[in-house]
Amino acid sequence: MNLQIDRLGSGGRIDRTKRLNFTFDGKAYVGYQGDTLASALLANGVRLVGRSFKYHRRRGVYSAGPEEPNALVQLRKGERTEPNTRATMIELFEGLVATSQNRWPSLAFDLQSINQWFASVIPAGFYYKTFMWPAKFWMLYEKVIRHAAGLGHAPKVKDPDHYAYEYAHCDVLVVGSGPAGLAAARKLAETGLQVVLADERAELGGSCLWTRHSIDGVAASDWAQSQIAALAERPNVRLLARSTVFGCYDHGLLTIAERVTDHLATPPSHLPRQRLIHLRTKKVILASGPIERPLVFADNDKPGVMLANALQIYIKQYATIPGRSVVVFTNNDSAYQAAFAAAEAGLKDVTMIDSRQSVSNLLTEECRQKGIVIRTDHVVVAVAGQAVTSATIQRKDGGGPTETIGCDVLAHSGGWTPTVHLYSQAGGKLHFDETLSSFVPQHQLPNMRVVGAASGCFAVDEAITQAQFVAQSIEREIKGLTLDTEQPSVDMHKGLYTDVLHTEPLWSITLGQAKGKRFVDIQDDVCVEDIELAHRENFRSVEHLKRYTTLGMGTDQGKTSNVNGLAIMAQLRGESMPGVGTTTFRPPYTPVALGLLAGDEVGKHLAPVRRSPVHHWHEAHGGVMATVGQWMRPKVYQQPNESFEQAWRRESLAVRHGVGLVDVGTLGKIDVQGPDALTFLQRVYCNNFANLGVNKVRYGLMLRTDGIALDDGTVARLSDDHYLLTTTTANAAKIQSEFEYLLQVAWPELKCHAVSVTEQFAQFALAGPKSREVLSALLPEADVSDVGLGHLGILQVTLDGIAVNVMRMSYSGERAYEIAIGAHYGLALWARILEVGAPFGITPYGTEAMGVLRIEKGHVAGSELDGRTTPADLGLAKLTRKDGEFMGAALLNRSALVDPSRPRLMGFVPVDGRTTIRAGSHLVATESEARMAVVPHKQGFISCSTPSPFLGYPIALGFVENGASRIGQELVAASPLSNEFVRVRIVHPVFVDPDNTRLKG
Amino acid sequence: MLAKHSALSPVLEQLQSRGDHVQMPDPPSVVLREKHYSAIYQVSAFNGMQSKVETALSELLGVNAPVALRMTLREDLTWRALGEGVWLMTSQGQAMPPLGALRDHLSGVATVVDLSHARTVIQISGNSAVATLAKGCSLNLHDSVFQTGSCTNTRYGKLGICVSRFEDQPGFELLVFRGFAQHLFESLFHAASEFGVTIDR
Repeated sequence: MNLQIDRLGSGGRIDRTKRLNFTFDGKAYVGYQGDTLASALLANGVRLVGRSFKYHRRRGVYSAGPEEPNALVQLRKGERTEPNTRATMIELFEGLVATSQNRWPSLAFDLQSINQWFASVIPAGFYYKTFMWPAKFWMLYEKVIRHAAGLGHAPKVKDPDHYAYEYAHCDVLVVGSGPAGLAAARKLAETGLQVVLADERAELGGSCLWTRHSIDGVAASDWAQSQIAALAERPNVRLLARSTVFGCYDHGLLTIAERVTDHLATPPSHLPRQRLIHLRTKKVILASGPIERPLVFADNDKPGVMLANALQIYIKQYATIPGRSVVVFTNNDSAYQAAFAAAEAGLKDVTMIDSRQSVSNLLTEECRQKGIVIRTDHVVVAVAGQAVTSATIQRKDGGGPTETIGCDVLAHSGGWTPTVHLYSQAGGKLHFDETLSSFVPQHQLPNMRVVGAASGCFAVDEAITQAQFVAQSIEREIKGLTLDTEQPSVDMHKGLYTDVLHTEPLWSITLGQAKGKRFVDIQDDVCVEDIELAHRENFRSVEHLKRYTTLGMGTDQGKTSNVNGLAIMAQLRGESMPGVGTTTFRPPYTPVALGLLAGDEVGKHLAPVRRSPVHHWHEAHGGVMATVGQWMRPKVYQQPNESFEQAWRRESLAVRHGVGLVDVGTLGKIDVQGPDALTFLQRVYCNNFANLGVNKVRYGLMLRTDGIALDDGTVARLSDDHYLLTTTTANAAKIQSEFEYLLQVAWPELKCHAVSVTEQFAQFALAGPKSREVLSALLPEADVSDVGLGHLGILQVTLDGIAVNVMRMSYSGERAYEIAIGAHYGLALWARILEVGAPFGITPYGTEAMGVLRIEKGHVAGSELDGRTTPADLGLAKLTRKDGEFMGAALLNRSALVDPSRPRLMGFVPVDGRTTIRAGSHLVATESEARMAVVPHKQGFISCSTPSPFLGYPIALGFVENGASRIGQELVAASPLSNEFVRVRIVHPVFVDPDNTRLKG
Repeated sequence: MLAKHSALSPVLEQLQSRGDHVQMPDPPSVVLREKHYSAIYQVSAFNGMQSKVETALSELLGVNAPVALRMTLREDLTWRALGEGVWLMTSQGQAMPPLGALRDHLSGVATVVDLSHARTVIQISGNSAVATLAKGCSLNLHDSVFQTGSCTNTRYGKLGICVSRFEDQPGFELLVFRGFAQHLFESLFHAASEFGVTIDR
């Protein structure tokens, strides 16, 4: 059933052959392809579409564009639901579901509308005043305010759609596809420059789609179609409809929200819902048009009150009549077009209320022809009815009686505000043009030119000429051609343009006895009285006014309200508009979805994942994977019917008693080559490498410039001036970038390069008492005896003709070999080692067992290299060279760093021999001190801890004051947060094999 | 014999076995393929030695040195100039001299590091290759700017890549750290699915 009672029988840019079903608040309606939700609701006679933010007053469709403050709806349902969408910007689609917001229990009967009767006790700044007094009541107010405030509801489930980024580039971006934008783009298209034309609406053409003007002798819409068709054929032009340019940043970066599938009921899975385009452009032509300004009179927020231009658009573009009898209230010429459109649509009762004393003969004559009554020198004082039923008018000077005119639409225009958001974001300053009563751009910017109505040029033919001229000069600038010295000035505020609007300033109507509220910011329920209150309470700066009253702080960011609000404050302050100024325009121009900003970088695409050559083997064999840096590493290989702890216990014991294999390819590896390689190493490591022979490897410790330990690893000498370094997995990138900085900036004279080869090699540690037997089985030709390959020796051999490096070194404390091979062979080598190791019971082990083994051996790791420890703290003082020619040496001898009482790395065991010590525990003298003292004396802390499957009791490493001299003393490891207080004994930090007999065989 | 396994072989096998290697729309306008180089070497000149290295390499390889961010090709060998005194040499088959010979030839003027296993190479071609790359790479790879024979280090999403343009038809090679190869490949596959994508093995 089609009950579009307010749809005209013909006309408009809708496709009447495509009927679309939709619902609003559960009720079914029908509209047409080409409708917006707002136009379709109006066509169906729906006038009440929302409730206001604070007072919950009835609200109707107010505008026909992005500035809409009232018609905010909850769009769609379920996982795709979206709050606060502007009905004026939602393209109708089949099956669209929308619901009204901010009302309970229903839109027509909203209990919270009671708020408006208490308006006098909840004035502007009420929220802030509740902070002040009485302070105790804040908790109460907060609950009530939070419950009452807000509009729609965000979805609580995962967004089913995906979003995309695009990095795009062009020579010129044209923003807006009205007459000026199209003219500029058309001119530029012929120059061969790369041009992007973006418009936020579904259909390109801007005001051409509804204006009564003709251009080049044809209807504006036909002119626009021919321009768009010509542009579409150009390979150097990209047309972007449904694309809001919402931010302008430095270096020619603009952000565009392209709504790719928002207009479809269900987006196809391969398409993003929206696309965030980061556009780099050399120049911008801003042809963003203007936004109509309301007039401020009593009850000017009621359903039926709308902008004059919106009335015209609904009639002309959507063939919808938002009412039957129309009063148009204006202070300028443009609103007459709305009255003419209404009359042409067949409405009989159309009245013009014009605040000005006289109107041009042209307009008067056309009104006469169309039967439109004009009341000059009059203003609308108030409107009546739940939705508008009549308007009360009076002479502007307050003389004479009030009159009431019946009407169901009150269209009004208080002039026009150029849409200068992007210009302002680009750093442009605004100038108040007295003739237009508007802020307009003061100057053209080097890389942004404002044209058309956005520049204050409201005459279409002049706007086109201006846009074409600007396009030409931009072409010359980009191509580096000589500028025409006789170019007309493009400064736009010097009376260059014809004043076609004849706007008379009229900021608020204060006549009459009308008690109704005069709304300035309709979305935020900010009235003239609120601005007056802010002025009385000395919040007079526009920035204070904004925050105190919330003027312009809604989802519409004051697009219709800001200028009126500023003007009223200027009047109260007795100053001019420029004296009061404007608030700052910040991105985004209109609201954008958070999903758009996140783009594709969600889920598994959020952070890069780095996989070892054996990754898929790990996963297939019970590997419980965890990220270390960006690497995925197996923590354990959990067997069926085995707990996590059982797994690492099994794995660590296998290394102590037999042989284990661990993937250590994730360690950072840096290839250092060059005649000055040794000099470089001596500078970046605190220990000595001058006496490191070829085919030998040695532990290395790096310090920060302040003397604190930075990272540790190994240095292997492969040939005279060729070294291979390892870093910890987590610090690899940091160390690599530090090396590159040092070589490029600090020591460019060194003939030496450091190149990351982390990914070049797969590397596995074969550890355990039986490791040599497995190695021998793997490399039967090689001499892997203690003579052929002693501790810290290197063997460069081949396996099946493939180069393999074997380094004898150990992290576990057992005899161990690290075997490296080209990464592509990593998986095959891993499998081969397991194969030849099977007779010896070889066990793959993960990072958990590796951590247990290193604690048992007393090796330091990230929890000890925590940015606070010196080599001496770590028990590594004897490593540091005495020559002092290394990074960190200068500050290593600061008094605080050489204080002998500094906490020193020690081992800890529970006195009871069985309670696990919590890592992070504080070391204090007694439990009672830990529990009772206001500031307990913290003597140190536990840095890492584990039950030791090999020793059969828990062990820990930590730092304690005067540690070396306190072996045998008892302390309490206190973790008050977990209520754990464990008596511990200080022991030597190496629990297993302190004399290295297992290590060296 | 020890078998070679590329970083992408498991994921390619998985996608193909599931039949997920082609994504609508059809016909696909993006083709992804893993390319295998037998050698990838990074040559880095010592300070002030750039021209000597260029001369020495030119003589050895019989091809002119590329200017910055360009590459020169000789049969199966590609020589990319990626920065001040830093070049990446890639080759298929036996086109590249052995590593030792190269090191000896450049002794005293440059270092040579073998990255043959450290990089994975992904080819992306088709009419929407540029559009796919534009989803993650902020550089302008349009052929009017990034012409055939261009190469540069840049990023795709959060990953560092080296991108090179080969044919006039949009055809790019991306070199990425081996460990990130699967992540990059999956990101590209996801990005290209909008345009229709197929994997060529």
